[in-house]
Amino acid sequence: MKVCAFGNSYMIAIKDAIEDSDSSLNGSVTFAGCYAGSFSLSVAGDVVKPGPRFHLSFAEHKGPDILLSDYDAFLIVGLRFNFQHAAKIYAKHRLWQHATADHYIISEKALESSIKDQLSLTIAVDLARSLRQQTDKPIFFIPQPNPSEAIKSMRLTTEQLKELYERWQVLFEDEVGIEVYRSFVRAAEAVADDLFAKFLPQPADTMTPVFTDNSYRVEFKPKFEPNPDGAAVPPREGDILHANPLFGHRVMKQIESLLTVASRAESTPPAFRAPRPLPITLSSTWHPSFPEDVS
Amino acid sequence: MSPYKSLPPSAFWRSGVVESDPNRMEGLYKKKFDIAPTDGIATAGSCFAQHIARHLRSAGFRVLDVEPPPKAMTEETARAFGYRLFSARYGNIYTTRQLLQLLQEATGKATPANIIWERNGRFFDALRPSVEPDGFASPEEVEIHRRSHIHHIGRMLRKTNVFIFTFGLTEAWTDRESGTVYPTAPGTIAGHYDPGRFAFRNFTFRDIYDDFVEVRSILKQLRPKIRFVVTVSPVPLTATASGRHVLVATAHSKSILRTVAGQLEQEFDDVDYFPSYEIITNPAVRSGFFGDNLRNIDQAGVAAAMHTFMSGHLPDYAGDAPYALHAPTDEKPPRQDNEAEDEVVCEEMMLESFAGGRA
Repeated sequence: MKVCAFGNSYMIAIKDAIEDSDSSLNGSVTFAGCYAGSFSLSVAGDVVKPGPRFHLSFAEHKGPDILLSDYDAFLIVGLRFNFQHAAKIYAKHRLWQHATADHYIISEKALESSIKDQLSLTIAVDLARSLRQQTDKPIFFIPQPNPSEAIKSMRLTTEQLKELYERWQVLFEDEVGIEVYRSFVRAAEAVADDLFAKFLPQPADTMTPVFTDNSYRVEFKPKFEPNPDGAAVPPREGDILHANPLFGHRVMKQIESLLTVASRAESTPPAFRAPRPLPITLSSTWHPSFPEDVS
Repeated sequence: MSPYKSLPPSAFWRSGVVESDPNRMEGLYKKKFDIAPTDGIATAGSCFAQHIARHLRSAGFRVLDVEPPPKAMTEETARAFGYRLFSARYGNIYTTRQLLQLLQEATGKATPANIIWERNGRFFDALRPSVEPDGFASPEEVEIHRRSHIHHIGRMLRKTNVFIFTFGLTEAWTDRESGTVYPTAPGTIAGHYDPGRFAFRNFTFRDIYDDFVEVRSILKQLRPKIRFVVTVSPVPLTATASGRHVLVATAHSKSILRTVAGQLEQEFDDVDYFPSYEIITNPAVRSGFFGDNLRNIDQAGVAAAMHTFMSGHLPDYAGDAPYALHAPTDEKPPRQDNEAEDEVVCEEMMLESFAGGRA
């Protein structure tokens, strides 16, 4: 089983998990990573040409390009496919159970549709569309992990932390967070279904109940490469968004079980297969122009 | 000396219609009052009124939107959920009685009855069934959302300086017991048609005139300086339950609505009439502003109507030039309907699916 994973910094937890431990994947993973703000690649036929800012972890991989036919499945990790979209919407529009006089009431269906609209505009989905135009092999969406539960109690020493706190504060109440997270999952599944892909929600036992358990919090903001001088990567204060290899290991367990199913099938399982050409226009070269985020 | 001798070209059929550019007809609309950029404009009416709200917004007028969609929502999704079509999420208001009913509800004067309809286990607000395409999970949720909606309409009314209403239909379905008027027939989007419970109603000139006078009175109490622009939708009926041929029923309906609008304009200084009906049905266009189904108004028609309105209120208005100039010839202009940008949400079209020979 050969897997190619595309993603941004959130992919590093998975990469480190595989490199640090004996994976039962029974195969290899090539990681093609890039910061979301610089993410650009072109998909033409079987060939994926990563942009200049890409870092590739080669596992039995040759050449600067990625050939889709070399792989059995594709992972799309992070790339702004995250729960944050729901949190942003919830600042002003809320389900009636949670609304106060300061909020517009929104129906469950409208909330899900809003989240779906935002997810559909992410780099992750754009990439999946491009891949799906060229291959009917399994594609998995792996979301950026939800923020660490530390966000609830951390000292807000920077503007960025204050902004993050305000954004996520709306979901601090477990009852509210769970409800909105369910909407996010349904929207994410719908987006994936439209592309004949599969959404892998964050493992439930890594959440408390919505934010990521502190034990999976990364100590240092991950980078794709160590500093050129070999010095340790300096800690980034208050990184509550990235997860550690322990978390990556949990995600890999999820992936392994699905890939096992896929590999046992004679061909691509129907759930992952695109039965006909998709009614979307392929942009052979694609340069998303999203504003920079913390990735 | 004939009294017609000194009249302007617009007073004569040949110079005013036959020889005029139907996209930019001179003298067709003379505004009665100014609309300032700071005036809060509320729009309501049938599906044609959706074009008015959108074009006014894009021209920089302050069209109120008291129930905005989440920023994350795309325009297409927003329209599907009844956002940004009008100044609140009331959906299409086809009849003046429906408008009056809404204002009475918003001002606490009356409460509509039998407004929760069911379809396949989901529940719909029968007074705006299209704004939640999949309905709600429970009747209680319908009521909660309706209370919120009515609260926001109250906010809207307190900010409105100009109220633009497009008369759409004379025909409606009502609850026999309470008189509640619905925008759609029961069983079309949701609910079930029970002849013992629902009745067909074809409102008369007197009904519609009286209803609008009452609408005006309610709004004047809230906003003494409020002004009105009324229009008549040129969109023909999808279907009629009057027992007449749909063509006859359409002429009957539109004639009454046009007459009411004219009467209101003549009678009240604060009511202006905008002739969108005349612009679209102008014989010089030879039905060219209608789409292939001869009901929908195409982009060129909307552009012609809105250009006339905007030019009347903004002397230097240059935007929204006609998409395709419809010269007064026999040649049919290219159709431009069905373009997503100009789609309107029209639950009345649901009736199409009940047309003879279809499932």
